[in-house]
Amino acid sequence: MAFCSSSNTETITFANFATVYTGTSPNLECLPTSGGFTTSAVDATGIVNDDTLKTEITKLLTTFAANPPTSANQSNENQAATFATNATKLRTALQTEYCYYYVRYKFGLEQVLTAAISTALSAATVASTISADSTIINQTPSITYGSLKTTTVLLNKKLNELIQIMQKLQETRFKSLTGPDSYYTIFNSSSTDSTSFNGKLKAQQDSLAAQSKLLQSGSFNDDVKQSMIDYTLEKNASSRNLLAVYGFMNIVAVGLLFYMYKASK
Amino acid sequence: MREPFLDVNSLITDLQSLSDLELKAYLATLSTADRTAFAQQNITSAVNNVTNSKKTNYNNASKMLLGADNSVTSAAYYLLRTEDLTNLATDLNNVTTKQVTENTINKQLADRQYEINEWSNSNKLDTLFFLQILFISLTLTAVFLFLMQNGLLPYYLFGLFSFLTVAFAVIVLIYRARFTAVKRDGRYWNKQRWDQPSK
Repeated sequence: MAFCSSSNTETITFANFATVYTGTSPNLECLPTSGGFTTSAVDATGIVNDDTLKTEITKLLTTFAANPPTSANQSNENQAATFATNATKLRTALQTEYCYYYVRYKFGLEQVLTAAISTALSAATVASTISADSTIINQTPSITYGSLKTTTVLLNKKLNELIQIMQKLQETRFKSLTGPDSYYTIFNSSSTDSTSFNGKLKAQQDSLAAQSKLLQSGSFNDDVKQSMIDYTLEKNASSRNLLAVYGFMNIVAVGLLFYMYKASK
Repeated sequence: MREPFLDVNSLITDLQSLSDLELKAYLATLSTADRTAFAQQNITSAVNNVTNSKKTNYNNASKMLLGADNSVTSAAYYLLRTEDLTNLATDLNNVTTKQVTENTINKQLADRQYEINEWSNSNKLDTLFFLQILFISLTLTAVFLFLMQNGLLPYYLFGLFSFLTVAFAVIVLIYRARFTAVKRDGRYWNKQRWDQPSK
């Protein structure tokens, strides 16, 4: 995504540069309040404390349904695609809000600096003083130098906090891959563990290999057994023929005996 | 990496350095328009530095986040494919298990068929043996009859020899039949059934 390319079309004036971002679905507001994080959650250098960031990240992931797939729903084939879509929505929301404040911050900064030296420049003697906080910078709406500075500082604070949210979110993502209780670790654990995905696959693979070996080794024996059956069938046929021959010979013998007996009478 | 907190006041302080005496002397030599242009140039430069920094920080964070999301997505698809493979392997395993079972049954059937054919053939040979005995007996009886008709054998000897010959054939028949019915194993021709020893 190009940096604020589509969001920079808004013309910023004194009338709208201090307005607060009110996100609408799907680009919901990512900062916890209209003023960013509360003062108690931010230290003197503008760093938001870790627990507050974690809480905010959890809230965002829930709002955007952008939590990584877990063991409970991994078998849902749409889960990965759903995660990818929702993660994109979250990133887009962060970018939209960042760009919203970025263009206002840029405007505010230019105005503050311009106001800071305008008094000095207008003085014929090049005065060393800058504008006082109460100096009116703009008539409609009425903006003083002091309020302009305060708003610009607030905008800068929000921009920094949004960056911190993104950095923490990135950290959370990587932890979901590599942490001890991550689904990646659970599913990708030892292949000897029958409860893991790889373990189950390995077990099936081993079973298949054993079956394959059994089937392949049995094929030769099957041929031999079939040949043996054919051989016994041939032996039976031969014996049957001999039986027929001897049966006939016995009938002839009985006939001969009967003939001789009759002849002797 | 944390985003450095931008202190606007420090920027203002930096700009205040324009008031340095040396700079002030330089500015005094400029016209009002030149002074404004000079100041505007500095403002633009400062704003560009700040916004470029913001842009770089955002792009870095955005790329890293995109990479992390893609990694998770890839892992999710990888695990999904692993599960698909496991399911495929399970189905294939079920099929081969059935094949192995059928193969085992077929092997047993082939073995049994071989045994039946062997037993049947041996039974035929046994019958053939009796037919041979019977044929020899009848032939001998015919010879005895021929001798008796020609006066070379007395009648009583003919009767005795004929009786012995026929009796031998009948005894062979009864013995073989009884042996097969009682003693011979039903599965293997050359094996006898033995009574279980009394306990």
